[in-house]
Amino acid sequence: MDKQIFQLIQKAANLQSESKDKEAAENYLLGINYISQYLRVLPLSNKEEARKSLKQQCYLARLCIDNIEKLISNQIENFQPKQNTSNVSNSPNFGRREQLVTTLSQSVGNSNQLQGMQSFGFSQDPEAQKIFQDAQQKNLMLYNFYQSRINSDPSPYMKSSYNLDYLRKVNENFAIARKKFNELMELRKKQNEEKIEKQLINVEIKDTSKNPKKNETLKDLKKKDLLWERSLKQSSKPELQITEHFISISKNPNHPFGRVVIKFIKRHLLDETKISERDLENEKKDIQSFIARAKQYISNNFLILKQTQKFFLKASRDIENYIIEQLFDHIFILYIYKFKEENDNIHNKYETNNDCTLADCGIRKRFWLARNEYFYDQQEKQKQKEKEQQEIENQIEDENQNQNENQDENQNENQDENQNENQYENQNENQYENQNENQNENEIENQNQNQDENQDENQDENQDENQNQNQDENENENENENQNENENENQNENENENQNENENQNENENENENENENENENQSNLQDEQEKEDLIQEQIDRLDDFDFDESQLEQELEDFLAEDEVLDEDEKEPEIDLSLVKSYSNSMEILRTISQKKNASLKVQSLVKAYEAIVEEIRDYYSQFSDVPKSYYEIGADDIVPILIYVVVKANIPNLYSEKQFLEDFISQKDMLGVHGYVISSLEVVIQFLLSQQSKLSLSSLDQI
Amino acid sequence: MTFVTPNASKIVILGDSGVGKTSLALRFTHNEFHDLELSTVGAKCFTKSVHVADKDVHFSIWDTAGQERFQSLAPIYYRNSRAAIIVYDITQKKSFHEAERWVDEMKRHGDEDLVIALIGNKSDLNEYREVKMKVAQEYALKNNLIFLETSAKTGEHVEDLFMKIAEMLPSVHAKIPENLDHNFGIVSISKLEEKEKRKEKKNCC
Repeated sequence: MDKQIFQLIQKAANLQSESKDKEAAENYLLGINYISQYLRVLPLSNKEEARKSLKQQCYLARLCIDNIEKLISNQIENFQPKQNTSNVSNSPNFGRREQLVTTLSQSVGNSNQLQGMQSFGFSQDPEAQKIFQDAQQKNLMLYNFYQSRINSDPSPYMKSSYNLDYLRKVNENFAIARKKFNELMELRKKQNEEKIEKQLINVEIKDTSKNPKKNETLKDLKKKDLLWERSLKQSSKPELQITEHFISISKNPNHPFGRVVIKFIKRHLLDETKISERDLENEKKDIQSFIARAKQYISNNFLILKQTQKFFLKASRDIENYIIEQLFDHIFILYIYKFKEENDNIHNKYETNNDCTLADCGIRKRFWLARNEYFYDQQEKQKQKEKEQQEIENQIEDENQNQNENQDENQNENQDENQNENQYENQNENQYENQNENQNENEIENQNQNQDENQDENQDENQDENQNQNQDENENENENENQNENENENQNENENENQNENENQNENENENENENENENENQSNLQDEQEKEDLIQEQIDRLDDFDFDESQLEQELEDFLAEDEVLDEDEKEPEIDLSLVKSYSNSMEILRTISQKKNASLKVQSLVKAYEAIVEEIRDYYSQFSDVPKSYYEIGADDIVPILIYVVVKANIPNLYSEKQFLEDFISQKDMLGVHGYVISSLEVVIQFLLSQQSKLSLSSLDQI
Repeated sequence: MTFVTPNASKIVILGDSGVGKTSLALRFTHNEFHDLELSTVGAKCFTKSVHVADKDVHFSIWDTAGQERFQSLAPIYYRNSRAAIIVYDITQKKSFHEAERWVDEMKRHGDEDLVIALIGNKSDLNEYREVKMKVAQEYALKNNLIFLETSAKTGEHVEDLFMKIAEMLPSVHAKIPENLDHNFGIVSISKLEEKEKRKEKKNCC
């Protein structure tokens, strides 16, 4: 008997493993266990009875197996009694035992299901627990009642019949509990949905309460759309109307768009646990179909708008942006799941806790090269300038010599002044005339002419005065006094002459300056104005000093050469001043804002801003070296890309790859040719660079690029 | 209405680092060297439109990073481009070999219509020349390339280069990239527009 039961259990186990419905098989196993226990418990008073009962039990066991096999083959769940078994149970010989077995298995199944239900999500529901507890209490009552009867009744037949009754009652009890349970489940589902709808109404859909038309069909909606399109043709501001229309659509649960949107929102509200793959695929399909419909819808409206308005491009952008913003969370979840491997890969390529703040990235090298280039240019320019200076100074020296001769002549004349006053005056006049002629040769003619005229007038006046004075001299015959006066006057005149000469000198200097400027302009446009002014001042100083040493030039040349030598040394082993190296923290902060933006265009804008911030910070880095003008460095991709890698790594943006993919997918193709495309593809360069790294990227190695 | 500006064409500048790619683009777009206000440059890729043979060609010039570590990532930059300017430094022989490598790559992976120009930059430093003009010229002739020696510093031949490219560009209409499905309605409309245009043209004829 035990062996047979054992075989039975084994068979059931095999069936369990073979059958697809594992839960059913498990239930059968449990049922068999119960049966075996029940059969053992049955009291055996006589040997004959025992033999009979053994035979019956064997037969019963066989029947059990047959029944179980049939049940499994028919894949009927929950141990519902079959007609075959009831037919067998109706037969006079084996009726009771058979019924007993079937009811027992049935009740076991029910209890199992109840237990399962209790464990499945309703353990915290008080009503479900009440049902379960009631059923258990009833069972206890029944057990106590029938147990007392079994104990009181001596005949085994009655005992078994009591058992059967007990089991039937228990079964009924369980069945009632199950029904209650099912009702409760449905109730809970409805309540959940109502809750969600309420939440939706509170959160998103406030307009639907105003227009609660639940029975709107698709046809009505289409009609509405058509009407809307017609009104759009006549309206003066279709932009506004389109956006309003889409807002209303997205909030209407009956509209095909709105349904999708609300579904997403529901999902978002409900979705505390993770999304399974099936749901993901379904969502993808929904989104695709939604986008396809949206495309059609928008393009149709575009065609209408196209005939009436010019600015629908902007409107379409707004609508696109609006839809994407509405759906962003749901769309972006897909991107995160789809590119999870890539995101993880990127994050594995660098260490987030790297405290390296140095971000040189080869800028230093290029900086020194540019600096060298600058000084090379400067040196050549300086050489040319010095040559020109020498020429100019030689010319000036010649002129000065001539002027000195003139001055000597004047001095000699002054000595003879007292003797020949009139002659002197004539000579002065001649001198002035000569000077005027020289001046006329100069470029600045008008000013000089005016000056000359004034000078001539003054001269005439002086002459008149002198003549009058001479007359007075003759009258008063006070020669000595007159002589003194004349001397003073002559001295004044000489001073005037000197002043004029100085003016001439200054004019010559100005000429030289102009020449220098022209020459400098011809040489290059690179020189800063300040430098020009400095050089001019130096020239002027030298001219004022008159004494010029060639040794100064040599010293300067030596200085320049020495500087070059120093530069060469620096190029080989440039020292790193940590204070000068930029942290690029500003651009990192700007870059981090990408993940907060819910729109492709906004994301791109913050990316562009970050890019510009990097450029500025590189420029600041350069500007710390004041000896080379800022503008000498061209900040191109050679500089920016390594720094961008550094900034991206340090910014540590979550789901970077999906961000990039989202941008690429949702930015318009026209923008891909312009700045936006440039920025996105340079971000892609950074990402691909990170992915191509075989080992972890240490930021200090970036400085060797 | 036009979604894709009709004559926008993307140009990529390739070449070794320090060859003068950026300054070449700057010279063309701003016609200045070093003195320009850098605040307007840098982040933005350079754009300029040129009028050649009764058509306006709008260039958007993409500067690239020329370091060896980024060479394998160049396809990201040069996809969908209509022309490629490959720059070498006439005072560095190494950069010319690099340029040859770029020419091979663009011939292999670029589009059939792609216009390729080989440019020897820094022609103002003729004293330190390492690459002979004849060698480069012959190489360019063999491979059907536009060849010029330019100087971004003095502006020599820079304008000529871009005018030549504008002349060589095969069609006036911009190439519409294939993967446009991501954008709402834009593809369908632009295609519809093209169809309408064609119809109009047929009617006119």
